[in-house]
Amino acid sequence: MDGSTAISDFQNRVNKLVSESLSGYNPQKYAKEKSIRDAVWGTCRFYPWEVAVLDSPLLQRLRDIRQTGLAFLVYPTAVHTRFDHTLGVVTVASRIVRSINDKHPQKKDPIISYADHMRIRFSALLHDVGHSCLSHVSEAIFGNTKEFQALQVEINDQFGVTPKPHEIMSWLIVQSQRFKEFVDELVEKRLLVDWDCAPEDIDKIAGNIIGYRKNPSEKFHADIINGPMDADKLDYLMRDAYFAGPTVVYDLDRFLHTVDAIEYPRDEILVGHGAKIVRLSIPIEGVTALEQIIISKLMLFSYLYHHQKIRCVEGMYHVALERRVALSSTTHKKLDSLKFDHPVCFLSLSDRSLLPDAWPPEIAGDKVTGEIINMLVRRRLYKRALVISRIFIPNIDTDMQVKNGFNRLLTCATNSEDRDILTKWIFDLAYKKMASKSCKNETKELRKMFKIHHILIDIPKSPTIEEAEGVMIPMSSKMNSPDKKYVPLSDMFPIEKWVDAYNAIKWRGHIFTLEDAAPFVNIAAIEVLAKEPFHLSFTNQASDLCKITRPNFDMLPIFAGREVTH
Amino acid sequence: MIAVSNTSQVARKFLLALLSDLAGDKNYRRCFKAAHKELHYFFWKIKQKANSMEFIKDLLFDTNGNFPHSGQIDELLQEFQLSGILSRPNPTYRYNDIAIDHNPSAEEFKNNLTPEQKTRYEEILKEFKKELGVLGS
Repeated sequence: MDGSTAISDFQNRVNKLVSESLSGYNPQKYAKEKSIRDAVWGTCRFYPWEVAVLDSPLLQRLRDIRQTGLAFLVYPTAVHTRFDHTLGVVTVASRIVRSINDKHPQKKDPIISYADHMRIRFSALLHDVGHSCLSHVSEAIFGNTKEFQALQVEINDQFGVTPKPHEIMSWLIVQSQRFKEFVDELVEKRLLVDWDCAPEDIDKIAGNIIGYRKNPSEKFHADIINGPMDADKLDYLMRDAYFAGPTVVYDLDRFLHTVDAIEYPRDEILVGHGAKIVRLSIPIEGVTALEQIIISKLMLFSYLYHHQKIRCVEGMYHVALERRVALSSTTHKKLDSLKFDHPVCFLSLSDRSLLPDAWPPEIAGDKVTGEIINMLVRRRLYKRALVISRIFIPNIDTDMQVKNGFNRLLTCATNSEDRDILTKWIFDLAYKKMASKSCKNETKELRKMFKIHHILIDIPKSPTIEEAEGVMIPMSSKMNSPDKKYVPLSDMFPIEKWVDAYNAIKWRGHIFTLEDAAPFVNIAAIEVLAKEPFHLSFTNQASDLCKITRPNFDMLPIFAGREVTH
Repeated sequence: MIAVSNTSQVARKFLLALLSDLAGDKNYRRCFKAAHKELHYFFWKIKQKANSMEFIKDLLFDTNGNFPHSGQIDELLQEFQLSGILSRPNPTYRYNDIAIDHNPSAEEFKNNLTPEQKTRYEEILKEFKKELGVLGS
């Protein structure tokens, strides 16, 4: 395709993997369309070629990747998978297409042709095929490798887009030679009969997944799959809430009633790429439906994505997976058949690759990984030792040193070196306190087992609301009115207020550890964070919320005067 | 072999340096315009110039939409807002107040600049003040 080093290297590797995955798969027998019942969207219809793709090993792997990772350890019914979600995204994408076409009955040809509709469905079908075990947990590891970052730069140079790591992986799979041959096979076997899927169609299908369209007048096609209000979001908000349990709803009917393909003027510096751009948007009367979607997203951050226990279990899994990756490349220790010598290796994994599905669980190989996975399988989880929140930090609004110190702590979200140093400081001090003269007898057993990997510092990123600035609202309800003006959604709906309020009150970071070690880690963390470069103090609430119990250590002088919740 | 990389901290420190220097200038108010498009455009322009892109070489911009946009800049501003370095006062939300005029990371960044880099940084700062600063003490 080009001379780019990273892209070609990844393409070769992905092509090999897709060839292995499709080896022996014969789609011949599937000739009829299928109706599949979905808990969220009801009965959904799939074309024969879609059934052939869905039944391929590429898509079947998604049945073993849970949509919300380990959230089922907190919300037991949140066991829906990327496969279920994929079916939902195809269905919602189709509804968006039909809604847009229905709004322009006067046009001789539909705004979105049948072939374009099928390409959009194809993109929806494949949009998550690049996910690996526990979705975003593994993405945070392979996406943070030097190899992958070089690939992201090349993708950005070539296409001017900034997709997420799993979207790039999906793009690579769709663009692979073997996948193109597979599509040719579907055409030859007359499973794909009512539209031609030519090589340039594959480029468009893959482009939609990373939010790219060469022709700006077709940008809204990509927006349906990867944009500020895409089918992906419309499905996952509804599906995650439905299966996890919290009541979070939005008015999809109203949204579909108003959503449209709307032409914007394009920034003059990008005019070389086309002076006008057509994007998925809503007229002013549909703003409330979009507000509901944004608020639903923020609600799910509170209920689900930033839930302290879910952050804890995903943090534990992250440590185990990261260690497996590091060991596979730095030691000769044979753990098992899993290889991690390149980010593409992650495409061979699913949730059960690291989490055994047998009981009693047997974990072979590395002791640390085995311990963490065993704890996860048996739901023996770390506990909170400190809650980090703006509302528990005195003087955060007035003291410049505190603001700078808190900002330094927040860099632990993106800088693993800073995080590792802070973890070591807290571990060393906690261990020292356990080993102090007054505690050493009582903590003998605890000290034997307490290791640095038992401390987790979790600093989540605050939610970003790309809808606020990415969606432009035409001020006139008449789409072709000459006086129409466009304003970003944020001008009509002050989403910053919601995000600021979320950051001020709802956002929380945590320090997690073993239950028995929590009282010591709590004291150590508070002492470490009070010093250079952090200068942070915490109110009692930061500890009280952790509900630390210390039945074995309550009499120790170190805890004198410190109340706990028994 | 898989090599783990850290997101570069240079852009963060560079942005902190610009904000603290703007806040420390007595000719300007301690804020900058909350003009989303203009802000992203400003940094995109820097990235286009060979002699200034080094400060933000790790920031990627989406140019396939209406205007150049970097999600990483949004994330950094969110982080500054969360830590209290920036605040958006009610009711207009037209400006981002800067609550610091000194930051250790920003100082470290400026101290490590070569004389040539310092000149380039000063030029960018001047442009930043002109385009996004608000005159008046």
